Amino acid sequence: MSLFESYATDGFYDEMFEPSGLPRPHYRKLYQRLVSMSKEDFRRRCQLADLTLVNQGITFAVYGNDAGVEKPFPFDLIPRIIPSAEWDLIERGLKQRLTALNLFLHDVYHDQKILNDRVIPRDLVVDAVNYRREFIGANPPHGIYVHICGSDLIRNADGQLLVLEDNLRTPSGVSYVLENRIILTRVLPQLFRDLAVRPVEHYSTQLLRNLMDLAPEHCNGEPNVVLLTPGVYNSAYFEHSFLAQQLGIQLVEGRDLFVDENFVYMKTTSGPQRVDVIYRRVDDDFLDPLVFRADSALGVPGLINVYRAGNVSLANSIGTGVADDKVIYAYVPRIIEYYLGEKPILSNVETYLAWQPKDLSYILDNLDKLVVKAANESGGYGMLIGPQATAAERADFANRIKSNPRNYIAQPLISLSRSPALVEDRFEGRHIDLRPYVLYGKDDITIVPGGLTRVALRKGSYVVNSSQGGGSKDTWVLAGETPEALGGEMRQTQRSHTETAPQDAENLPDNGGAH
Amino acid sequence: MRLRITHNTIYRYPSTAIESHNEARLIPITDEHQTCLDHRITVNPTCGVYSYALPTGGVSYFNVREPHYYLNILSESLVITYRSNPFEGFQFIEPDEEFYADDSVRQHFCEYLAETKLVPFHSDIDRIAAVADRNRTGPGAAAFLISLTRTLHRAFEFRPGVTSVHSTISHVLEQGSGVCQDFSHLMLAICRRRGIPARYISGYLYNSVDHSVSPSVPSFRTPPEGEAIAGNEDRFDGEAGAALLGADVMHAWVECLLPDGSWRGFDPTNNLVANHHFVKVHIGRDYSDVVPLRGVYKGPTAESMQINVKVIEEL
Amino acid sequence: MLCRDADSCYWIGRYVERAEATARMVDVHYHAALESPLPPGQGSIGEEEFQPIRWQSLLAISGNADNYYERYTSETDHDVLNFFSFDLDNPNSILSTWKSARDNARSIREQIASEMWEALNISYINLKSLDAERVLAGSPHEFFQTVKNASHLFQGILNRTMLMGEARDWLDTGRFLERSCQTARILDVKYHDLLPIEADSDPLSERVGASVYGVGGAVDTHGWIAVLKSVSALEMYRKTHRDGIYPANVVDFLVLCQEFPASVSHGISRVEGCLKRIRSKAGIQAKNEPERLIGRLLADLTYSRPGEIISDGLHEFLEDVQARCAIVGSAIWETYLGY
Repeated sequence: MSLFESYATDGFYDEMFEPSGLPRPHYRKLYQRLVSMSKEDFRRRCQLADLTLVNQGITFAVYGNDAGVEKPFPFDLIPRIIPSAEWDLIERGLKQRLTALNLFLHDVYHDQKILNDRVIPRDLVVDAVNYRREFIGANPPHGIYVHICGSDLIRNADGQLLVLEDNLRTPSGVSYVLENRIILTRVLPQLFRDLAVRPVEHYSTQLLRNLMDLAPEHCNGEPNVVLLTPGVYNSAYFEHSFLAQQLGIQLVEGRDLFVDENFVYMKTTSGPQRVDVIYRRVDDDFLDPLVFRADSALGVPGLINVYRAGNVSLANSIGTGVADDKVIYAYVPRIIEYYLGEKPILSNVETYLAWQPKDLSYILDNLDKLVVKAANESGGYGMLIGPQATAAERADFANRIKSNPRNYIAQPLISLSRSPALVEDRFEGRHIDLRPYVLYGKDDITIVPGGLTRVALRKGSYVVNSSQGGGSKDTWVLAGETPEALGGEMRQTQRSHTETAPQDAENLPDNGGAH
Repeated sequence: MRLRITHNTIYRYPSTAIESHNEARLIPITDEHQTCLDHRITVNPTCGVYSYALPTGGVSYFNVREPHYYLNILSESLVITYRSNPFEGFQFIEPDEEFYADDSVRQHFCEYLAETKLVPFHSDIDRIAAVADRNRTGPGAAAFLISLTRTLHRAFEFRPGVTSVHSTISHVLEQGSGVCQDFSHLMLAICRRRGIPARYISGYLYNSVDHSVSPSVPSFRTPPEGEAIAGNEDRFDGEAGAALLGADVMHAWVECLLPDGSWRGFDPTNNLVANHHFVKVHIGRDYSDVVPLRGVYKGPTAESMQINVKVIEEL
Repeated sequence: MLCRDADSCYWIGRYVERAEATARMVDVHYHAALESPLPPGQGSIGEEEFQPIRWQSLLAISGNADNYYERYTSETDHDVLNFFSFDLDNPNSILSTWKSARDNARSIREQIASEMWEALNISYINLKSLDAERVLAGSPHEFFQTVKNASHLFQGILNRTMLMGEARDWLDTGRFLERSCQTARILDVKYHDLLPIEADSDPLSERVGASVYGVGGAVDTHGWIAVLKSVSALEMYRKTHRDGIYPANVVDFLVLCQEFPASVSHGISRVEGCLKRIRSKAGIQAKNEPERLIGRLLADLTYSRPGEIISDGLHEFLEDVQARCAIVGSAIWETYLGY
């Protein structure tokens, strides 16, 4: 009996299936393989994958209720496939976006042209929680603020890809991209056969090269690059440890480092050793108790001053959070046009800003239709999904919004696309998103094909965060479609979408329409 | 005037302190009203000092890693000040509301118009503003600011020790007294509420009688926001205030934006308009932006802190 | 090597060794008590009932008797087994020490072979799924064997996979220092255990040699066999000392014999080797404090005679060894690991 028995798309956009129920062209081969597998066989392979995760301790720590408990991040074995043409669009869109955001960050910490030109209200930037006055005028190496970015993309009911948010501080999850691929090639090698899936493992090499390029001038010989983690109790600790291992760099905690005479050192058994580049996975607030939160024990006193002096480099830089503030998010299309003179390749989700009186009344009147988000929370915390909330929850949020409008935005509930996921002993549609990882290097921007596909495993849930019952999938970008893979259905899709606005250039089968 | 400033601070610890990291905001600003000719910070136990400039003033960073029983920071500056007539260019006659209501002005100076933790828009400030309004000599903003400076000076008593570096204007309003930091915070709140961009200035005041500034801010080293760094021994410098009574210390006043685009200083503590006796060191939204000496270290709470400030005219 | 990483290696070594030692001790104690050398009725001394299993001495070895009596009222097999095996409020329980080893490994996963981490993690998940009831209902011996095997597996992987570098030296420093300490402790407490049965007689004196309690008597022999078994030394002992089980020989074997891997002396000499390599890799010429201390301890062990140790007081000697191990530990922290 097939695992797809009684599978229904339920009127949602399904990544694998056409509304007619036929598999989309780029999924055909995968579909055929999955259909030919028995339930028992598939289940056995899932168990094998789960066991690998638990044994290797590929876990994240949960905050709140079960504080301190490590859970494996559920891994759903059915890969998500992105055709090469669509990937090309994503790649160009994200490069454009990150280029503009980086120019924006440089500007708001230097001349503030975009504020003086009143493209963005000045107070939204300079009064933002994550704007670091301490860092005004400082010059990070090569002018790069965001070296590693993870932007969340979603696909709406029309099949259009939209940017939901940017993560410009310390985005996490890339370890799952690398691990998922390793596990899937082990437990389901046959799925990969004759599908040209583009590799992902060069992420580590690229990241290390970019980090080495940040070495301060005083550094002759190989720079000492380290990864700074908040420690084993951090939810992403596994990732920190994994990346340090992959990059071949030392994993350190704040207490392993110290500053002396404007240089950073680590404490080793053979004495202090100078540190040149820090890939830090500690938030600004906790990085240096002298400059930021004085009660932070995770940081290194004096670090920011050493950074400013150019004697150590940080990735990402300080104060990048001002650009992934959810209020600033609404201005990203304008930021792209301001600095690059281009139309955004990837669109935003329509966003209402509660600080604008007009939007505020709309938000309050339509709470039952909107998703409300706090400007500076992440991981699915501080969020209201209006249509799924109780009246009491909505009333509570209405009060919160009214008392601090600057801190809230609202968006229409996007009906995220779905993909088959294993639920008990058969496949069911579950909502997914996509987080590609963008690396901004000295010479260019690189994106490892694919990224992390997160899946909301709870039925009907739109929340894909690991802390809220989400899982992940391996994400395949195909190296190129064979002519027969680009079936008639795809051409039809193209035709129907060319009638929409030009920036809605999603899902194109080749580059022709978008260039 | 050519003013030579020596500002000496000594912390003493009951047992050894280690890994002390500090930021000083003690470098006089150079602008159209003053020129800083020379500045030097000397730290004992000896260590290197690294300075850089922010748009709001200079910052010096230094650290002492070795165990130490005391920390001595000597800041020496030589500054020339120019503004002999502080009232020059003041406009009292014409109303200025239009300028302050202009959206581009409000946008451009939004940082100096917003409430802060230390400067909330307390409901009582309107009452003080009303008094200042009654006594103003004209509709110009300068007239209001002069009147406000005088009103605050009369309504509040200068009394060190009743407030701390963390006090918001609510404490001052309740007690009716405070130090120059509190006077300045009050004035900031009233100006900003009225839409007049206003900023906090730390600096020195030359007192021609005894070669020292008037007594004012009780403390420099801010205690941390929260409690100590995790771990039993890691502690930040705690209370600093009380030990300073009667010491010659640093001063604070307020600068307000006038419709001609200039920032002008008002000193509600002394009922003065800033002139060439005032030496500007750092600009901020409130005290927390200009903390003259801030540090973290491992070790016991300092048992004493002595501050000695001398401002001498060089002829 | 980062101080904190070195410290974690050192403690992984110690904790794994400690978990194994605890399993050995409880195992042997439990099983020795199942067979009694005393005929029925002879077990009572005065008005005191002879306990079926005398757990008190074991509680004393662990140094956690106070901890135990805070939470348990009597020494039932279940409670004691739970205390030593699964009680996370007992920092020296098998599960606690294994968890500590595993947590330390988790914090330095990128420093050690992934197989080592996996071995620690899998065993931890395994141990965590058990409890005292199930162990007692099944075979306690099998449980202790599982712990020993887990430790041996870990050490085997360590030997096979770890680079002959500093991290390995720190793991070994921890392992062997802990092992020396544990052996000294087992011997010390077991020796004590034999004493109070006839409080007024010296079990080592020739005078009472013939009694069941005296040296060579049934109780005595049974006790020393238990000691040897608890460090897996009985078979090896028999190969070295064919004339029977006598205190002086046992002391010689467990304390002074360089060739026996669980002996105090062997452990200390391994620690000496590690510290020497660590120092020379750090580029330090002169011997430092930890090496000076360990060298002196090793010299004392190398040039002592078993008879001498017994006549000067075995207990005092063993206590001194344990104290000196602790001092070596602090000196290592001061010199290398402090962060």
